[in-house]
Amino acid sequence: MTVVRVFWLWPGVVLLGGCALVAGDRGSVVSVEDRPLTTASRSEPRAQVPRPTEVASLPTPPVASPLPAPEPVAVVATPLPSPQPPAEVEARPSGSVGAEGLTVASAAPAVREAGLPRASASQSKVVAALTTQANQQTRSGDLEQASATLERALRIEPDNPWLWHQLSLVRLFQHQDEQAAQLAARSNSLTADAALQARNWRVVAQARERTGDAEQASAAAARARALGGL
Amino acid sequence: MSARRKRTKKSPRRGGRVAAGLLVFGLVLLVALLGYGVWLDRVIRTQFEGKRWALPARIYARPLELYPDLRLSPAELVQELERLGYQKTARLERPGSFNRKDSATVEVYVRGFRFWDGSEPTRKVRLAFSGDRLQRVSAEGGGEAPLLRLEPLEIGRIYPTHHEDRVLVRLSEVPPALVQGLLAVEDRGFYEHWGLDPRGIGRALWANLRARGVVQGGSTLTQQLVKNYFLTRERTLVRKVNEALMALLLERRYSKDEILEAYLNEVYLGQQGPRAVHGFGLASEFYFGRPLRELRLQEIAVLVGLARGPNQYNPRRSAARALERRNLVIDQMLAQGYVGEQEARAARAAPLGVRPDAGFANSPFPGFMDLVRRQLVRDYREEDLRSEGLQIFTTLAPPAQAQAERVLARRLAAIESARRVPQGTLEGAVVVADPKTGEVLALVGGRDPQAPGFNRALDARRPIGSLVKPAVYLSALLPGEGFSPVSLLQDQPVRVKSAPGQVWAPQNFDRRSHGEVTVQTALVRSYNLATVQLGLQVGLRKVARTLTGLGVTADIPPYPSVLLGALELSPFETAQMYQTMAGLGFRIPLRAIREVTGPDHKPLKRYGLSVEQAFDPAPVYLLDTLMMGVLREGTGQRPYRRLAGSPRLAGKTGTTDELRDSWFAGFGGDRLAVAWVGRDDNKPTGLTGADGALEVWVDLMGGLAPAPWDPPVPAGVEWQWVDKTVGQRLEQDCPGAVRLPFLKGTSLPAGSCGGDTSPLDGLFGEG
Repeated sequence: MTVVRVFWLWPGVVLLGGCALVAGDRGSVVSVEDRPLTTASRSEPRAQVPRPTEVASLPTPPVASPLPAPEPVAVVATPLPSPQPPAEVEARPSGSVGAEGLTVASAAPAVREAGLPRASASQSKVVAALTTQANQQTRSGDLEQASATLERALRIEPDNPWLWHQLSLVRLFQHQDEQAAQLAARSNSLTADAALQARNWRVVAQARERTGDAEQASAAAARARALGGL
Repeated sequence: MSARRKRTKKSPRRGGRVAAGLLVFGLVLLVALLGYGVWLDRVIRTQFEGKRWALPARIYARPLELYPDLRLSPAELVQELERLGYQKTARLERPGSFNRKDSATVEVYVRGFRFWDGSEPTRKVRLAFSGDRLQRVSAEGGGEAPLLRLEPLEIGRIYPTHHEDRVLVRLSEVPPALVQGLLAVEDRGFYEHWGLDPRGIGRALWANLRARGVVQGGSTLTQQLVKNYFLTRERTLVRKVNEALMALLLERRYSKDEILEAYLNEVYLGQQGPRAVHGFGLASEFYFGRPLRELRLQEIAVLVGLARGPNQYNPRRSAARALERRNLVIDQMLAQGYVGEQEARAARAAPLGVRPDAGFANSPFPGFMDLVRRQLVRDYREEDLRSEGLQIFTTLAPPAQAQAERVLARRLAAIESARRVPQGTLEGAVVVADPKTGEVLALVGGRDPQAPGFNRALDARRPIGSLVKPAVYLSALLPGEGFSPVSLLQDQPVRVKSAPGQVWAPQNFDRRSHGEVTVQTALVRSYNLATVQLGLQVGLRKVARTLTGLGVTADIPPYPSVLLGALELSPFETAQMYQTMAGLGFRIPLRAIREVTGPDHKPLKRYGLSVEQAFDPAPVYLLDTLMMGVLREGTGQRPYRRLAGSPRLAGKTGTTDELRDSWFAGFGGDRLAVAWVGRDDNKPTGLTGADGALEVWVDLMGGLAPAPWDPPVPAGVEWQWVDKTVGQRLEQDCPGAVRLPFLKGTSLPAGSCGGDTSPLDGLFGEG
């Protein structure tokens, strides 16, 4: 045993010396925190994970670059309408300022129809908080986050037509035109509020215009006009 | 020196040759050793810096959102907290604990969680309840928190191919006692030595001799780390030397803290089946069900003790030995002055505290995980799922899942004993979803949810029987088809040529004809003959188109027998079909995943809400309203009566030939559930849809307490008072008058007051 140890001692020292030569510089280790979790051989590891909804390539913030269509700009310029007041409250149509401080042309349209959520006031508070958050996220261009926030709100109040409408707007900003039109239709199925319906038809019109469906686009625009609204 | 000179003198030529030979030999050896050194260095660097830690994908249930007016009882909250491993304590001192102040208040020290769209801070919150509702959520130091998300329950992992599992920890977030314990027991000279510790070996030898057992180890943490890198049980001298050399190399290259952190994450600490538990982060969850930073001294000491021999000191299998080892660790820490006398005594007196189950080698919800996996493989490579440390956020609601598993197992056993069927012959499956968001909340693939293998919820494709009928009736109620909820149908024998030379002659379940009946009656009583007559009138192709619109992707056979459910679907596919009905014609693809995030917590992919309008809401509204009648007065009434307060729920029973399959699919405002009961060998069960699946469904809905089905009335719908047995318009105050929805503009013949009424009429109506 001892013999063997002695035998290994010298080569050991030489080895160390050799290594000292080789490893002149102290290697730097990447800490757990920021160590890339991929091997060097996979230079673009993330690219190999397919991501249809590429979050990295978000479209430019909607507010910064208004969408081209002339008429629906009104919709686009006001990212999200204000959260709906609870159904029990007879709101007056007014040009009031939304909870987030956004000036929305008809921020609080009359609410009375059956289409509105039978939510209690406190629940509306939660949804209002989420709507505010979604609004901020939309304004700063975090559209994926905004839609996640609205989906959170929808889990709480699935029959709230405003939430569906807001989501349809976010989809429009995301250039998911088919979904924008579908979500607007969903919103319309839940409300009898003419102003909201007009907004939704406007979304449909713009989405259809983009998908190249001129006939449907102009039909939707006509319905929006017929409903008055904005 | 002199001897040498002497020898040189004696034979200079020979000596010169020897010297030259030695020199050459020495040089060759030197080069070889240098090369070896370089190679070893490369090996160890690759190991240390390369992708050492293939991280499994972690899969989470939905986070519970807490907000005022949420329907949630204090008991349900406590259940959720316990599921997450929160400890009940008298005072909130550390994250991961809660305190039930009184019957209506729960205080929680929430752990916090980093969601991709925002972080939940670690904080103390106070939740006030009023009955079965959460009334107020307030954070410590005042201020209302309108919305709070608990951290999501981890429900499974997808492991790297080599089955190494770990939860990475940073040195800075590790409790100091863990490092102290390791130093005290494993390597006292860690911060002084350069990889090997001769003094440590001597000290360990001495200590072990004195204690007559292995108290301390002689190899340094660095050596142990190297050993863990190349885990082989082989104990040869060459290995030992290599290990020592690599330890020296590691120390030369990396700092002590880097080595320590690597050690904390690398060391092997347990085994469960093929799954190898690596690192203290995972060991903490594996043995105690809580994150490392929440562990107390006695628990940390157990983990420190395991580093020596995870099998030998396995606290689950060898509790006594593990306890002894733990106390020894505590003693050593006391001796080193890391802990005080009192603290040590308290820790020694504590029980082992290891949770009995090992968590999940496999997920506790294999059926649901199956679905998650199938949805994932469409978008991800297997390899990325196994090693990239992805986080997968699913839609699973653990309470709904637990409820579904429980009711299925219990109800099937009850049916078996009531009907004297051999125990264990019946099988079943359940799918629960939120019809308005398409999120799958629970999925049970069999009565033993843990049993691996056949997932009946996804893979058992069976004829759906009468579950198909709503599609026939919806086809007829569509605008322009000319049918209203009270149109008259002939429930008369029908013979259809199905194929050349073949005649299909269906019968009613009771083998009788019921003459002239309304659409409403035929649907809620599930009359076959009237349905076939209606379907043939509307046309098979239109019915097939309706089925496709409802989301059926399976091939629809072009035969009239489809009208009575000769169409094979899995419970999951059936759930999609009924989602479209519950969603008033808006089809939302059922989803099990909300988003997948990468190691940097950024979403790689979100599976957002998407809808597609397949039908105008109005006719679907009529259909759904009629389907409420199935439970209130039709084929489903008997089990339905067990539900208190006759909630507004809609659904349909399904029974197949010779009672082979028992189905029920139905929904309330926020819950949709499909239940199937049958046998794996497809033999008759003797159960109708109401006898089997509906009993399961009613148990399930009783526990889930869904919101009522009460959507806003769509445009184009108007209510009329009618006599629903003969299809005539009545005045509201006539006996037998009920209110039903119609498409606007539907004109009905006027009836006269005091017509035929049946005692059942009062059970169903809007008035």
